[in-house]
Amino acid sequence: MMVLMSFSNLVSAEGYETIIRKANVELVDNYYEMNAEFDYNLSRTAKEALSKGIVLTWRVFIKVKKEGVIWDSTIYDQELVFKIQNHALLNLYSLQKNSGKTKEMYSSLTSVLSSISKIRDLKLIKKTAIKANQQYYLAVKVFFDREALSVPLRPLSYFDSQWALSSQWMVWPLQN
Amino acid sequence: MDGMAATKLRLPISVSIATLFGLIILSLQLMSSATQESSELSDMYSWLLLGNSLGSIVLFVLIGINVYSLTKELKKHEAGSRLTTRMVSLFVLLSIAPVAIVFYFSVQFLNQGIDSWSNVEIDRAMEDALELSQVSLDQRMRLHLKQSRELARGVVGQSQTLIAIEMGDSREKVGAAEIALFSRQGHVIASNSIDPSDILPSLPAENIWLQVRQNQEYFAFSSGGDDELIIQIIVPVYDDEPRYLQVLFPVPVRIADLADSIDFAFVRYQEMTFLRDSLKTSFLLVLSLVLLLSLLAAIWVAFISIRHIVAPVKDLVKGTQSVASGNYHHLLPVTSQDDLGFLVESFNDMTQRIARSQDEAKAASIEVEHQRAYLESVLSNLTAGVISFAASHKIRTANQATYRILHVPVSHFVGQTLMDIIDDHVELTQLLKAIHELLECAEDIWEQRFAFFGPNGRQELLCRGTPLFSPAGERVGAIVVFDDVTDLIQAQKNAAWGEVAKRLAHEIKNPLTPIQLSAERLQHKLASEVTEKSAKILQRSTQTIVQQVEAMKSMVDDFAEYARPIKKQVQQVNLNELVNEVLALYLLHVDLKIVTEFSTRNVIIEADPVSIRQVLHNLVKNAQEAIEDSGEIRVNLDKVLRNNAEYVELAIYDNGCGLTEQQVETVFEPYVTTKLKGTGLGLAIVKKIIEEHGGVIWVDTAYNNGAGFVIQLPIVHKLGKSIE
Repeated sequence: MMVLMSFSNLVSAEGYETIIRKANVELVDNYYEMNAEFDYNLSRTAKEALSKGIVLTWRVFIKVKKEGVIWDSTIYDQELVFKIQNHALLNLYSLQKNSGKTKEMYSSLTSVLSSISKIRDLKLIKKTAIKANQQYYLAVKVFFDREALSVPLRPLSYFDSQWALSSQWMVWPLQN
Repeated sequence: MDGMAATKLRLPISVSIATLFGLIILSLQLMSSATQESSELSDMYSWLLLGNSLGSIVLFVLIGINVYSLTKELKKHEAGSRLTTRMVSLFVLLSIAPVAIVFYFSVQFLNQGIDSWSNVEIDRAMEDALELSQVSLDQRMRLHLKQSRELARGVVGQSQTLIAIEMGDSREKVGAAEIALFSRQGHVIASNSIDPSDILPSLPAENIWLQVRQNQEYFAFSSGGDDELIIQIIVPVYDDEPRYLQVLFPVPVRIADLADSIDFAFVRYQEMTFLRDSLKTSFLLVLSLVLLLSLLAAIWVAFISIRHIVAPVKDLVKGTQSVASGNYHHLLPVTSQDDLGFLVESFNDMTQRIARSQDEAKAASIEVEHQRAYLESVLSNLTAGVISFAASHKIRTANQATYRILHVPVSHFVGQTLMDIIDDHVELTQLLKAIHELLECAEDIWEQRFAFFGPNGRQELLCRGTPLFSPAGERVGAIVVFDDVTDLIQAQKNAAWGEVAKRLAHEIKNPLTPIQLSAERLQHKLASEVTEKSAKILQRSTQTIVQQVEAMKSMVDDFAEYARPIKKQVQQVNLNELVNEVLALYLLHVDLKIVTEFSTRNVIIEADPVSIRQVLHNLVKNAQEAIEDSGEIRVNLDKVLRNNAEYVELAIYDNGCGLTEQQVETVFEPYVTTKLKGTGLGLAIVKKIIEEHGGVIWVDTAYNNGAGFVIQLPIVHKLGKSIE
């Protein structure tokens, strides 16, 4: 059985960056499956914007790459989209995942953030896609989409650290 | 052709400017549209903002390059740079002022407009509307909660089968959309839905079960499919085994729409309030960018346009400078048909006319120069010496013949007077002083003969001088022309002597024979008739008569010989051999030392060997007599160039008593001798023979260790080469 290395990344938070706390990959039924945990740190401005009805959007990029001599080739590429919005009338937070129409309703910000802070059993690639004599790695990034903000906020958000909510790219080697 | 191609390929400046402004307006319009949230372009807002910012930076850099280039041109004082600077500055000032005013009032208007969107009344109204909706929905929620609790109490103690049977009636009774009974573990026990196709009930999410376990109850709004609003209630069923009843109540469509509308409006209002400052900043940014881009584009276009306008002026300045520096063939390009184009055409016309005049003047100047060169060539090749003088009697020109005649490079003394030559050439003192005085005094043409001693002996010059006057009558200089008439005078003398000789031969020699015969007859007839004493007297007298007659005959013969043309038997003669033959005869004298120095061998001349031998005998004999048979005679033979022709120079020097200055003057004239027995015709004959062979002879006055005679004879050439 092939077991993948699991790393705990306790990255020291700088500002309001999302922290990728943990990510591991396991071989289950000839498939590599990923489990990950993130910590979202919303700034004061982001929380205020959310409370005022601004939709906040995160994109989780998950890639499996094969190391090459000149450049690395991507053999798996997945993007998960999370949109959070506050509904003042119902006093609830809605969560819209990917491009689905259904929204999950949450009574608190903590619960909605908690629901998007875990990725469970995400199927990545088949076991056969990994060759023994090659080096592979898993790359994950939680990206806060400034371009999904309201138009007046967009240009300023690039110059305001309150909106620097994305994580860095985190890389884990994938070993047999 | 290349230039034409380049012109064709280049877009007209007006098209370029129109395209640029079109692009800018399009970009700004896109950005303006993108600021609207509902616009499809809103996704491109940041990129448009970035693109326009980059455009501004590019324009700013272009303007910077233009300003730098203009500054450099100003420092170099290039043509048109000051005019360009002035026009650009004026344009920038005129552009910035209205732009600044528009910007200021636009910002004021924007701020006031955005601030006016919200006020306390609207805030209160929005909050009240929201609260009203919340209260309404809350009441509905409480009602359904109460109904759900009653339903839960109703199923306590009932069997699962009965519950399943009655569940439908219960659902219809409370108006629920779905009822489901769950075990404590969350497994479905029984369910009933308004939609018969829904076999499985809606399963509560993990977090809902968590809340239920914590709070025993759960009630909340949730969204169903198609944005349907549902009230989800989960209440416990207190039985032996705890169970949970989930009831889903649909919110009526009308109420849901109204709630959604209020929610949307409230959110939008809150969002706008929240974004008020961002909106101001955003609009300010867009406005600034629009104005900046427009202003920068206008300034850049102003640079291009002004350079385009100033270009003909620049060309004109360059053309003027070019004309000022003497280049009249510089034509300016006529790029427009406006006033400047007309000015450029007029300038071209003017320069062409000047160029034509210049060419004509140049051609005339060349013609004059040719004439001058021709005259100079004629003057140079004249056999007569020509010296021109300025008004101050300073030498202006002197031809080659001057040097040949005077043996002084007069042309080296241009800018000096004749008196300056005297310092280096004392032998010409008398001559030059006399000419200088004539130049100063003579008011008209003068002619005079002068004699001086040159390196070839005494020379006779015939000088003619002409003062030069300007058309205004002012004296501007003089010209002196002189000929070496030494040979001419000598020839005249020779001719005169020849005539004398002829007459002497005719008039004197003829009577001599009768005189001699008569004297001899007197002797013969009277000798026997007179006394012995008288006979002796007679004999002496007649003898004297006969002897003197013989002497006179001999003298007349010599003279005739001198006067008679020499009968030359011209042939090629090896002068070296001939000289050696003659000298061999004199080597018999023990006390006589003859030194020969022949720097050239086998010199061939065309001459009568007898005559040349006579010349050599005369000269050597003279030398021998001068040194009185005990001394040294030196004979040199050399080749020299004279008037571009090769001559052989034969020089005979002795170390005798030499010749006085008076003797040097007359030594070649007949009947001039320093000897007691000489007839005085020897050197005259020598001179005559040499001259008849095309040569010259002179006394070497520079030699002061005795007498020296120098002969120059032309060398014969064969196949263009001298025979050595």
